[in-house]
Amino acid sequence: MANEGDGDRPVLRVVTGGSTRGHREEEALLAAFLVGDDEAFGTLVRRHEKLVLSLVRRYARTPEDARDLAQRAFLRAFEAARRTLRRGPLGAVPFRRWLIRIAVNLAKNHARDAARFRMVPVEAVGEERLASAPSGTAELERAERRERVRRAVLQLPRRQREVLTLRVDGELSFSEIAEALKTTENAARVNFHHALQRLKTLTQEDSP
Amino acid sequence: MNRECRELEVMRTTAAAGDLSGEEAARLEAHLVACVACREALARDREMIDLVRLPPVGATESLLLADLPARTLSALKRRERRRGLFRRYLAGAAVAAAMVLALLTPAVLRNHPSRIIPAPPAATEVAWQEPDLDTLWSESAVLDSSTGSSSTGSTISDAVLDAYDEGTGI
Repeated sequence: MANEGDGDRPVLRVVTGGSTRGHREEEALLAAFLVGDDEAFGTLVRRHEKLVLSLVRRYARTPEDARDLAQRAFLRAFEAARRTLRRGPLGAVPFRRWLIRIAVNLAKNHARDAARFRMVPVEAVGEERLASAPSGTAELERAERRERVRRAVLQLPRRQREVLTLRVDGELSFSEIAEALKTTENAARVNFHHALQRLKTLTQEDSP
Repeated sequence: MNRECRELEVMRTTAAAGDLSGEEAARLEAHLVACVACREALARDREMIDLVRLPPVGATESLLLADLPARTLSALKRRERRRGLFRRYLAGAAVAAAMVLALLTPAVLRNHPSRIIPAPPAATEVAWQEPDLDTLWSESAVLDSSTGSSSTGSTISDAVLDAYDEGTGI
């Protein structure tokens, strides 16, 4: 646990109970980084980079764009953690939850940009798509359908889109989604259900 | 679709997402055995989720991610430096402003003495005058009672005195 110690630097203090092992490790890493341990910072970023990238890449045009969004998410989460730790104990910093929330919000704001929104999502993975370009008619049809579905995802109501992408892209359980979005697990499941139904409707109407 | 199918819709999409377990999974499984419509719906749900799913992170993205911790750390430190400089600049500006104020204030007061507005008096002072003793006596209740007693002879003081006189036999 880190508190204000001598001067302005937080100090590490061991606390027992109250959190899972992973959560405690994360707290220790965060506290170590805040007292100047850059390696702890690297470990924390490595631990969550895939999750953050998976949440933002749907809205990115290029791989660089996706990486910049991920970087901004980390920066904001670390700054929020630092500000909070200046005021209170380390237990008050659910870093992973904040990171998910920040990444989701950043992605949402990014999507609001009309110019980017018009783009077919995930141009970031264009290279991979070219590598596995469809050859037959059936494959071509499926690829077109995939594009329509991805466009339709961006047309979903915000909460439905958040739940859908947290589950499909971030591979979070519904209980984790509920925690991240400050809702109930059942509400998250219902939103997911409605998202799927809406996608079916949108892509049926959209289909030629 | 019957009533049970509708009741199990959310469970079905949760199962399609791969996050249904325990009693709920068993209940849905039992229903699916008997319900062709729900089996088909589940297959459509799974297909839709598969269409939503992005391709896995490729080589280019992996390569870019390799330096994410270092880039983020340097960006964070850059921000801190900028913030530190800004704070120092603000503190310096505040000190300079205080010094300029301290230097200029006496000169301003010297050059514009009329601008110093005296504070208004707290209250109007009234000069003390010695009271007229005759007026004071004439207005005094003590004097009135003594004069009254001499005329009527019925004040308390007089009664006490009368009793005293009788007791002592003066």
